[in-house]
Amino acid sequence: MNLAQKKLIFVTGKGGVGKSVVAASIAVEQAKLGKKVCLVELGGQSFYESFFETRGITYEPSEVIPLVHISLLTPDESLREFVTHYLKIPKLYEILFQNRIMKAFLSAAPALSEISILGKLTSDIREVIVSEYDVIVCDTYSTGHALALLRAPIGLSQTFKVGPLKDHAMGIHNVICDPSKVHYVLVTIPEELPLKETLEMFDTLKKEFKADVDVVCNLIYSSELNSAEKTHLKTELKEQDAVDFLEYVIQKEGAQHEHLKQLTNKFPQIYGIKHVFKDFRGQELLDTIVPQLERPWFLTNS
Amino acid sequence: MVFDKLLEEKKVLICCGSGGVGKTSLSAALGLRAAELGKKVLVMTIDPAKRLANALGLENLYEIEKRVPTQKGELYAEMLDMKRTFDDFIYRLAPTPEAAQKVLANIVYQQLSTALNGSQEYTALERLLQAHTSGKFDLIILDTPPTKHAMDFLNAPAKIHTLFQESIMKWFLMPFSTLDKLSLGLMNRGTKAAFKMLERLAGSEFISTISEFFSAIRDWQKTLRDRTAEVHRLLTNQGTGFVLITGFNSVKIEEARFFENSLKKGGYQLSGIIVNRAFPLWANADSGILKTDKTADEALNKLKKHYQELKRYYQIHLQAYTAFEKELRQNVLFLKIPDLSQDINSINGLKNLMERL
Repeated sequence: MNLAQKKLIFVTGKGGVGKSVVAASIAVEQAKLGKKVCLVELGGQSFYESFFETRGITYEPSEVIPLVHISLLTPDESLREFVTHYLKIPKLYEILFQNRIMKAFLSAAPALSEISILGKLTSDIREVIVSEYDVIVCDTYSTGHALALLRAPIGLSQTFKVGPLKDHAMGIHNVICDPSKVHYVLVTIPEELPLKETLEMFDTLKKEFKADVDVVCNLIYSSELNSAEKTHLKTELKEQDAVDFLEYVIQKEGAQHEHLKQLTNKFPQIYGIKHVFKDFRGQELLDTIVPQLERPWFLTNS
Repeated sequence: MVFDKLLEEKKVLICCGSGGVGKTSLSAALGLRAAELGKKVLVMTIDPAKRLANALGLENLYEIEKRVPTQKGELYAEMLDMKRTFDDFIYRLAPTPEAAQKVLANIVYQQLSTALNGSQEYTALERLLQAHTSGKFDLIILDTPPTKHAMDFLNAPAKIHTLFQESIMKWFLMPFSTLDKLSLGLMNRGTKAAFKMLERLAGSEFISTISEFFSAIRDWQKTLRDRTAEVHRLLTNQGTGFVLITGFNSVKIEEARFFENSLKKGGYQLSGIIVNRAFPLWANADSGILKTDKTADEALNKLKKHYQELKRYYQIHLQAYTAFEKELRQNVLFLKIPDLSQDINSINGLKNLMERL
């Protein structure tokens, strides 16, 4: 994937399309180019711990694969870092967050944890810190939640009329709208609903964040049979279940072809990843995916 | 059909599951089946992607309780509009329309009702309670908002409840904007320090807006609390069942196990598990395709190889699911729906899906 000078990559897509695996693949692909990569996952529970069969993925990044450091960006810890940064004195954070009332309010309050997460991700670009990473790949939430995350800064800046939080929120919003530094990757699969969501999300990202977007189509099914072979088998096969199986394959590929056509009509250049029918995880699975991200995919391939 | 028993017995079915497993299509298929059994059934979904609309072939689903043509029974569908449900809720709570409008205009409320953690879930449950209380339906099927983990749905409203707790309200109801000596004197030292910090972070205008918001809704607190308790009663009622919809891979099984456990702990009733797109029908049979013996046929060899590869792949998952099924209590329905290679987002597709229930 040509990410040139991009510093921050947001990976999103409909639930269940394989965002996390694609995000990890992009991280590995960038690392192969010699970049030092931070792969960030959001939320309370680490996906990559079980995926890479490892332990100890925490807020502090750790090098799980060569040149790829993984960090679990929990809202709580981001908020703590954020508030500490603002208040300068860590002790004050304790006072603020040990207060039962404040704690309840801050955990429910809109946008605060989103702002801290985005604040952390953009801190290098905003020149708050000098990052040791060349690029950050963020395995963001699924589309709906991802939008809520990305819209938080602009929302917050409307809530606060003045004050440091407003300036901070605007600063973050400007960064995530800067296509020279930030890139968006939309992951989809060749099915109707994920596709529809991808098209909608693409338009929203363009409109609201002036985003530079790449589309990755995951789980492309292929029987490796060309159409001549399928026609040949149709006349050749006699046993009922063999006929049924062939019919299953043909139907599945036919339905998929329609979706892929629709996708490539809208996006002239996409990346495609084949469905591997193996119980792979971790490095083994990434090894099959990473080469497929090195060049665009065309419909004639399938 | 396996799920008929549930559709006959329950008043409310809540379909949970992580994103991308087919919750919406299956909720619609369950609704369709319930109508076929002669029920008056409402299917509710809360999803910005208009997925139920899509699955039911409806273009505009913003109206509530929209009739879907069926041969038997009565099927209604609706897509929850979060903002509107929240606004309606405020109108019903407020003593006068003017009081309601004041709250609706408050920027804190506007943020709360759309961006607050868990507000989608809260709205879904509020609307569920409303539809249930109306007594209009034999059965209501709620398709829950997509969450990363199935349990998030039940955990989210708790966050909102804390916000409306008396202690928090009281705190914000003090005359913050003036920050006079008296109000600071009323707080304990910790709260005082915390408050000063919040003001430093957010600016005093924000604090006064929050203060305004809470003072506008201060008298509704009891109603809110009662409502919350009622929702909880409904969810733990005998007539309410949870259906976990899950996909066919080992990660999803772990999630299903966790979900089953958490439901039990929370006092909720897991009534059924549907494993969607479990395995294609042919993967179960020992197919004659392997016996076809024409080794010189290149295409046939390719097909055979593909068949074996797929079959092995599905068998591994199948074994894991069989083990899980054995762990379940006897009264939890367990159903595997095969991967139907055709499109299910049409009324015929849904009927086809329904046949598998």
